[in-house]
Amino acid sequence: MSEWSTDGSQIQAAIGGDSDALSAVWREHRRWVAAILLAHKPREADLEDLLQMVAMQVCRKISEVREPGAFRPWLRMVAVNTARGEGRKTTRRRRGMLRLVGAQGSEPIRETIGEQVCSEDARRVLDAALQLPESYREPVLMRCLKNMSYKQISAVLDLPETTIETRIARGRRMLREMVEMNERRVEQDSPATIATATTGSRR
Amino acid sequence: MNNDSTPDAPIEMPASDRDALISRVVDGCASASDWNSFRAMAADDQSIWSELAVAQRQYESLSEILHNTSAIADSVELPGGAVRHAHHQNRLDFVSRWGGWAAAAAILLVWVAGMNTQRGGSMDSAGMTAGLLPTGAKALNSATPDEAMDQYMTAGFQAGRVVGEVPNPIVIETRPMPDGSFEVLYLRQILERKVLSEVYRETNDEFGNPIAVPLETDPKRIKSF
Repeated sequence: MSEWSTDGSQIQAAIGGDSDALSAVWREHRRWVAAILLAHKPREADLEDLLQMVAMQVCRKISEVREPGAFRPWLRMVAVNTARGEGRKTTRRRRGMLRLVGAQGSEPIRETIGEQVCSEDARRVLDAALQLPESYREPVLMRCLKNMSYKQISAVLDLPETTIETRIARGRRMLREMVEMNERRVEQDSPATIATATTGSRR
Repeated sequence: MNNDSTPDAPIEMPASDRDALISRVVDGCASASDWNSFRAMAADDQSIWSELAVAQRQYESLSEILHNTSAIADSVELPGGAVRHAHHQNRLDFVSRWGGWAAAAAILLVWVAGMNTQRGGSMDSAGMTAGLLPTGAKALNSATPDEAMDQYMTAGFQAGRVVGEVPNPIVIETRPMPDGSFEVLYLRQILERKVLSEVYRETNDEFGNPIAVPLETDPKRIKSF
């Protein structure tokens, strides 16, 4: 996927109210929208719920997009705003629901992305990636989408390709450092380390 | 290129040669010249190989996550279409995750039964625990969801499996639809009973990993749990 398959005319048709064109445009862009949501959502918020909200906003407000070239940055902003705003409401609603079904409400709410299927390693790296500054977080995550090119990322973020490449390279460097730092911290806090330290201090 | 790659550097500062090369190799877009530079760098400092390995592994880990988010995204269509089964299935997964007591597989069955038989309009539970199977009961494969639910409730009550339905379903979410109607997602709670030889309590070990611990069920040692 070096280029988008939905071109400007299709986006223009979607803006003009063509529902088939709108569906095609949505289908092509929803994966990176999910990546943007992941980059910004509160941990407790459900990704699928947020995607539904973005889809609703796209239906309601796409007519406000002034021209096809502005569509992708506009869609990104919708995703960012949805994640920041509605995500918190989702958190409260979910917490309320957990109490009502009689679950152990005091348990921490964990990341819902791939809770059952993702490896611990992937979760650790994601935790670190979500600590990256926003301007690095988004391109680093989007680049991990299958075949999403620098050019496409630059269209979404409305930045030159060279800037995208730079941010991805630097973001990855930060990620390596963060993961290394987190692993060192976990090692220091582990029971075995504490036990060793205690034993050592008694000698 | 500037060699400064500290996290606090200004955003638009170029990545170091080292970072850029590693990134290009990870992305699979390193040119022959990039590889020559990489080898030259590695000749002076072999730690670049381990750095590359870490970067590659992290890329794979994040790709795994993004693969999952893509699968979720692919299930989300624009509103106005048919009710999305996958969407509701994910909610079921969420609820079952937080079920608390993992008593064999029975709890999962409760939720499956509850979610797969949503009633169209009324949320009234009256009559659901009534005694006999309706005389005009249909085969399940030809029954509507409401009819199938009624049959399940009636048969379950007779068999001693279903105790009843908790009144007042919990509204989870209300969403306006483009045609002016509303989609209401709600939780129905069916109370079931089952006799099991073993039950487990879900807890965490010292590393925070979820584990199942068998509960003491010897009536001589405990009165209830």
